[in-house]
Amino acid sequence: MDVEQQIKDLVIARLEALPENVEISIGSKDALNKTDLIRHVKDGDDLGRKIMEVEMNFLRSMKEGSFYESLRIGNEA
Amino acid sequence: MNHSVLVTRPNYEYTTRYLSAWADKIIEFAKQRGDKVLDLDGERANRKEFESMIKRHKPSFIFLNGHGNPGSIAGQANVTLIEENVNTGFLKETIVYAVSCESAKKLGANSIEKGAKAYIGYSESFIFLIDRDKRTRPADDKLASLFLDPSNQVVISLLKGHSAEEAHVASQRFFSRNILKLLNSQSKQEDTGAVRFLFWDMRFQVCQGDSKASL
Repeated sequence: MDVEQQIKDLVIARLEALPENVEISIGSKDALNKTDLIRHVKDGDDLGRKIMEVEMNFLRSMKEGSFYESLRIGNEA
Repeated sequence: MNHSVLVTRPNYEYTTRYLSAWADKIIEFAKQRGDKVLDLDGERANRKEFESMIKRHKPSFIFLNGHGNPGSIAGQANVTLIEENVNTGFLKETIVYAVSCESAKKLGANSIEKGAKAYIGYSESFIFLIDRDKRTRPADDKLASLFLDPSNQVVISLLKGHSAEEAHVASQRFFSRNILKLLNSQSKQEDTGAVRFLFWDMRFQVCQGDSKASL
């Protein structure tokens, strides 16, 4: 399975874990529910790619340490 | 010290309804402080009124809410309200905070070029979560508040006299504290899904222009 498909699967799994009542406001569209978002990810359109980018940004930041650095800011007075 | 604040808050679908409700909290805060508030809500969030209000009242702070792209921000019905190299000159001598997708990519820099003192905005999509069960009462939506309270902190800090950089950092701290709250052992598992989006907004909020500028 190629890397992009693995990332898609990961993102879809994360979206599926969201509660049913959660919607996301992202980009120029109105708020979307998780079914809509999953469809965009599967279609690989601009919005789907943006959602994947959010996930990759998060994973990369944990790997590089910037995520933990951001938590340090929250602990400062 | 009292300030004059111009707020644009279109209100025509759920995203803008939420932004409008959260901007309303700022309007109340500003009025209680004695600041002069120019509230362009709903249909009034249009280019003609925007330019006219700035010409007439010369606000020192401009708080823009609405859908956006790298070079522009929209008002009501998604009609362009401000656009790079078209009317960014109206932002001269002001501090701007834009809750709008991607506007810091181009519009921000162009605003500074045209004389804005500072521009705080987002260089990527501004993302927030909504509890569908609270859609008709956006101000009561605790899920959305995780995102929109840190956003409002920019304005609160500026109105209190802090610099653009200090307001940006205060907002970052708020985002970070909300992330920490979600990661603690007492959070529900589904709440942690918001963490990646909070981190995204925090990471892509930027402060352009004179970081020491204040109202």
